[in-house]
Amino acid sequence: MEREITIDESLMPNQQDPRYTKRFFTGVVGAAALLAGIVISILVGAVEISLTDIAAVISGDSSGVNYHIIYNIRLPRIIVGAMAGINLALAGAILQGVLRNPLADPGIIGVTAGAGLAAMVIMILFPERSGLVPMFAFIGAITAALLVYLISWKKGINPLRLILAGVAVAAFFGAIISTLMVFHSDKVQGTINWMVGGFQGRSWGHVSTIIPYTAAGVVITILGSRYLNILMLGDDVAKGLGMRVEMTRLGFIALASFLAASAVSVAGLLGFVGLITPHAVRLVVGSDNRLVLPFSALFGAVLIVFADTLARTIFNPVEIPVGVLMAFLGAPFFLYLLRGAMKR
Amino acid sequence: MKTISLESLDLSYGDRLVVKGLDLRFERPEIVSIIGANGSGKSTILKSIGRLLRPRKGVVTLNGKDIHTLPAKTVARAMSILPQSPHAPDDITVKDLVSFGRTPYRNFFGNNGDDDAEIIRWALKETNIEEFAFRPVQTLSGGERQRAWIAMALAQKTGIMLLDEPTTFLDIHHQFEIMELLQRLNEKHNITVIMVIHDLNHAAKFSHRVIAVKQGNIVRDGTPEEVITEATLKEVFGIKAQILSMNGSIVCIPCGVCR
Repeated sequence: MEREITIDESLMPNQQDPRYTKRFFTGVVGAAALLAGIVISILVGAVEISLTDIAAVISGDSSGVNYHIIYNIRLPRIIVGAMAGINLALAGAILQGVLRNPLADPGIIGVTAGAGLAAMVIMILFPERSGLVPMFAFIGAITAALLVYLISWKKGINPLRLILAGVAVAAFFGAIISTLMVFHSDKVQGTINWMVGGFQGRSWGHVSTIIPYTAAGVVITILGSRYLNILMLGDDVAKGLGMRVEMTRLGFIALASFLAASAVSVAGLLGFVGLITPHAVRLVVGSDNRLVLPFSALFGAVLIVFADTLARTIFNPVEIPVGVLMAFLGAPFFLYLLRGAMKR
Repeated sequence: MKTISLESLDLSYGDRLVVKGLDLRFERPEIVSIIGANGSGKSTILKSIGRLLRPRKGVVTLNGKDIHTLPAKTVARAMSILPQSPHAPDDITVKDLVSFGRTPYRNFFGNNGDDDAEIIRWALKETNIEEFAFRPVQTLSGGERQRAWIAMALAQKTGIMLLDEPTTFLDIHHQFEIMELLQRLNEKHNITVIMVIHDLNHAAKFSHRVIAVKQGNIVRDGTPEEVITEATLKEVFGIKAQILSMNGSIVCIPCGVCR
């Protein structure tokens, strides 16, 4: 017998929920902001481009220099930035949920330190191979995450033990990075841009590097956010509900590691997005991960697209690193949200 | 109902053996209270029944099958377990919390076509918290919050409910509310309630069966009248107590520590 497919209302964010309007509005604002950010980012820069130019390029005019600027320079950079934002914000939101710790971010499972060390080794010791940096950063990130996971495994994963193991591994890798920098201080200058993260000169090649992870991340997130909610109830309740807690947790940590590693490999060590975006989102829409995850992805993209546009135009022609700018602008905004939340 | 059987169970936390060679059976829809001093292993026993703790030796079976080889979801459809003071995110609504109870019936894509929404409404109604459905759990009083958690367990539609100190931290009014709710669920829906409880009078008044535990061993297992006696209380808790009979149930008046 064929079964009628119905949407289970208990699975949907409920319309009777008093926060429904606010959430809906937040989604509209986020989508509009992303669209506006993309358009503005195409328009402004060393060469000013007008809306008519964009229209011309969209309609298939590939002859002028504007086509080259839009299609080969600005568009890939915007897409890479947006995807890195999505990946980092998702990774942060997932880790904060899985580890039940508000300070969790991709750095806490060793991803940042592992990527940093691998990239530094290439940039300092094998500068002629600098094309390999993204790949090695990715491998370093995944290796470090795996190491942290294995160290903290003892008949299961205790979130606190995982966090402490992550901190220890990060400190150890950090020490190696510092040592490298001390002994090769002449080459440090060239690594700074990568270490603070940025999107200068990102091309379609970078887009194709990160896109599979973003796509998989978004799909799994939509399907899996429900499980993250269950994990938030604690291991015992989750087990009582028939969830395979260790498997699920491993799946989420692996997903977060791949998301963060792919972002770091194309963007360098961008902090802030992964830690702050999910918090800002939670302050507005609440802690339901069915909303936190998609909204984090959306606003992670918005944040990076805007910040990167500012970073390359504000002191034109000098570019400032987007990571620095993001913290400059994002931190006060986050504090503003936090103050608002405390008043309630 | 489904039969639960604990067979020569050794339970340990880390390296410390808490329970050794335990045998127990539950085969009737009854209210069972497990009583015992702090650290006597009563919560450990409850956890092992609820599949939260893997026994070092022996098996816990559900209708003859080892609960650790059965699929987790199958077990979660047969029994629900609430740990002591469970914690939920601050802003989760009662309805969202209760809907977690449907987890064992959902597949990876969420919906299985069953009447989830109907069952969630039923669970809210049975626990009398319909009016709070869209309130954040955190804004409820302790008693209401506990009923929300029980509604979640109820939404699992299991024949067996395991509860670890369901009335701790509640005032006397809300304690009675919870106990009467459990009694109603037992009488109306034939749900077996197995709980760890500290209040001996609640254990006496509301349970069909009381199990007294000391250092991981069962001292007495039987009706409240058989178990809650001066001798057993002395042995299990090391207290002097007087047992009175009142309106068909017994009342225990603790008098002090045995010296």
